[in-house]
Amino acid sequence: MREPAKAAAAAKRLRGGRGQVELFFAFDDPNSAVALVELDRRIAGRAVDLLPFPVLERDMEGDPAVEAKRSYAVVDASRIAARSGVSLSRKQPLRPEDTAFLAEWVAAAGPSSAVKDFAVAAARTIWFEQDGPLDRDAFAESWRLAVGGTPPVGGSDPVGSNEKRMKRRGAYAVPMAWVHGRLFFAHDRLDQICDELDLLGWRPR
Amino acid sequence: MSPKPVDFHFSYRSPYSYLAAPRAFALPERYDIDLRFHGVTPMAMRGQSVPQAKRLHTIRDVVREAERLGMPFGPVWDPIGDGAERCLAIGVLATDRGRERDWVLNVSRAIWAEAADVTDDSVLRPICERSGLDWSECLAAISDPEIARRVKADTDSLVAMGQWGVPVLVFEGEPFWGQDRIEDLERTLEVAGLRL
Repeated sequence: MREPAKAAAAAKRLRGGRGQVELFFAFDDPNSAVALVELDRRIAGRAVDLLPFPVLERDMEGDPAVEAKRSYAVVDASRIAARSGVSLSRKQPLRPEDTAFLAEWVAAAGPSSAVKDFAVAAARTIWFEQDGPLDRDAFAESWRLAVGGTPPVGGSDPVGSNEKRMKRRGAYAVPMAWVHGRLFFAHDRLDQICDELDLLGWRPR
Repeated sequence: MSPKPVDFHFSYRSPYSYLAAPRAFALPERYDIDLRFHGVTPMAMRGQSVPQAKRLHTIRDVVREAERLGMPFGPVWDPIGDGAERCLAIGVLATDRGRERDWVLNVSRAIWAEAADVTDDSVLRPICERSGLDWSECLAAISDPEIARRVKADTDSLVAMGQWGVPVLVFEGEPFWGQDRIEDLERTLEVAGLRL
């Protein structure tokens, strides 16, 4: 069933191309932090790029349980992180607007290895190291160190473009990962994502 | 000391509930708990719509998860409406008779792996009888308003907890949502010293 995708991946490798995992996530979502950190760790060593696509609007239209889901996500992410022996530092949900500036920076810059490194570090800081208001200046300094220069601003609604891309991929929640034509929950299907990369020939070197 | 209760909220229309059921019902074999089964009315029958993208992804994900768990999946028959109501009523009867494990495992497998049309008596009856239930009692349960009230109470209890989906297992007020969170519940049960 995956023969065409396997052939396409093989052809891409012959041309020197790399595999891709598109990650749709939100900085205010703790399960997204789990996905970013864990995918980055598990993809390392493969000729695969983790492409971060942060979004803000990602809830199902008319969902009456949005607030309950955000609170529960903190508990749920704590449990998933505990499986790897890691603790969440933050015990209360964040609001999308608290982290919107980070989504705008990353979306405006577009996916690259340096931007991915910044996104992973930011997610780790927010959810595994700090508990309190976010320090925009400190994140700007992290940006300077990881990416260089000052964070980009403006543009033609880059976060909105990510949200449209997410919908085109069929993703309806965060975090979700698009792996060469297949969609996965990103935080609790890590093994499946790695199996898919293996199947396509993007194995650890 | 009596076993600690763990409440298992289940929907016959949820493929994730189907995937969760064998492991949920096996928990009392390893932990000193009393697993209490609660069938709940499907979200779509409670006026909550599910977007197309979610429906599509759910099926793809369930196929992969069923394979991982070594469970058969497909062909399926959507029990929405009368099918779900009949199963919910028989589920209450099965619980009263202590047959809920056999009933839930048999009927959910029939729905999600054998496309059993449970609105058809000739299909439903052998599933009930295989589960140790008397068919005439099952028929009576389907039209019993007291049983319908208990189904509603079970559904209302899930909503009152602020929960939105199934399957959910609840231990000491702490919900574990999702067939893939049973391992987290097990860790909690271990910490609570309930391992047999």
